Amino acid sequence: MTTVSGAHRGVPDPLQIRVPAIPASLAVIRARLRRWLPTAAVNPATAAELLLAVGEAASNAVEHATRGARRDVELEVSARATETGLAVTIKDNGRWHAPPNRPGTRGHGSKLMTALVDTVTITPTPDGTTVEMRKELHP
Amino acid sequence: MSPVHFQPTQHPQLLALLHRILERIQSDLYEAVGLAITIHDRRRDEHASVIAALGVGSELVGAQLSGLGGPVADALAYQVPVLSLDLWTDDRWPQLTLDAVSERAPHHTDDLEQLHGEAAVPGVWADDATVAVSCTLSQPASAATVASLITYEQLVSAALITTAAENATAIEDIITVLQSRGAIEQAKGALMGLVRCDAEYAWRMLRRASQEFNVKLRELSVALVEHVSGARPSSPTPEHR
Amino acid sequence: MTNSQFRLTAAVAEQSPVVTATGDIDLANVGEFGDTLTKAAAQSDSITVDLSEVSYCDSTAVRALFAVAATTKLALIVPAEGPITTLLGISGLDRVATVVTRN
Repeated sequence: MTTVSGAHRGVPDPLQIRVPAIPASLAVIRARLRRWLPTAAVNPATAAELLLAVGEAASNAVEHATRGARRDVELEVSARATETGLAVTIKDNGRWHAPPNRPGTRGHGSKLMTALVDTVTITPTPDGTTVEMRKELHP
Repeated sequence: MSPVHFQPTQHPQLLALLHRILERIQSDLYEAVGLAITIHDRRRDEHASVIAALGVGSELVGAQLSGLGGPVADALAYQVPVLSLDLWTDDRWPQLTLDAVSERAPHHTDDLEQLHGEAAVPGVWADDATVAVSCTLSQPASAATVASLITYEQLVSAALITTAAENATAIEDIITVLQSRGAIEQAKGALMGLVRCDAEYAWRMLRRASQEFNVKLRELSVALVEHVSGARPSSPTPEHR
Repeated sequence: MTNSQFRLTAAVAEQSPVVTATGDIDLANVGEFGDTLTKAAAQSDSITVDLSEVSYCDSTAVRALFAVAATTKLALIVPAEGPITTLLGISGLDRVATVVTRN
């Protein structure tokens, strides 16, 4: 993971959070994002939108984790600057039941997410599913 | 073992259970003119579809999903409960008009004309799959309509999760869902309908179980799983909680 | 700098109870939020919930608000713009609750 420092908009170090998928973790994710987003030159209104998009995704993951018999489900949230904006990734290693048969989109169906950010890409992996959101930041 | 992909429409007992839940909602909300349970399983289909309905539920929701928009479409998409006081005049969905829907369902115009409000409550029942329970009324929908549907949605999601599950952890799932969301009362009603017992039997079952908390939920979940999947659940795991 | 720590205060105003929430409302505290609203609403047939100082709110809180609005006349005070207003519009809660914006 390379860190570009000093260039263009003062690209910040990527953010990396790993927490248990429990309700109390949602506040931790928000606190860390709130500290990080300004370093990525994100204005408060955009930050609020991103917090909501990530919050909904994380909240869903926590609810699903607490529904299953599996313990020790973890959430990973990471954020990094792209050339034109931000990419935020949410990944959990829990699952509802059997993993999806074939790769496809996973959604908690959240068009709220797509209303708040520019693109949402979902990728199932062997140990969980990853949701990546990208938001373009206009100067 | 590669799991066979779960399709709700291929489980007649699940569909019967969902239908019975709708009948129960109808007895709770007597202004309901249409009820529907809609699922969107992105692993199978990019489109959502109605899998159980009463009254004009199927026609109305079908029209919404076909592009006219509406509370069900929005509830599924945004994963937030959606309420409308009057569908035909709601500025959120300008294309959802009585004419547009009647065109698709000409034999139901009389019923459609009675419609005023709708409420839709979404849930998630698998990694890639969402569900919405919706009710359309001869009056404006109210917050009470939404609050009522919120509890039924929990039961619907529990039924879908249970049937979809391929192993005994389904029982744990439904136990946890019932526990965490307090859906016991709804389960009791559904149980009466499902097991075709009278109120007294259902109550005896629950009360016996309620003396030992875990057993109550287990009885419920076992009974529901049995009925829904038509088979005894696999051997119970020890009750340590 | 927003204080995201969750706080609830309930006061009895002339007309009806006012519950003021500050900070974030999420899955972890929505139960407490809902309980406080229910208790406050039990004393009156209307309730005002001031969310203007709420720094985070998602569909979890919307569900709790629908539950209160089901039995009690609900007035909401919200920030003029932002996610809360968006959620109220999408959900239609703004059609069954009185919404007042405050900057």
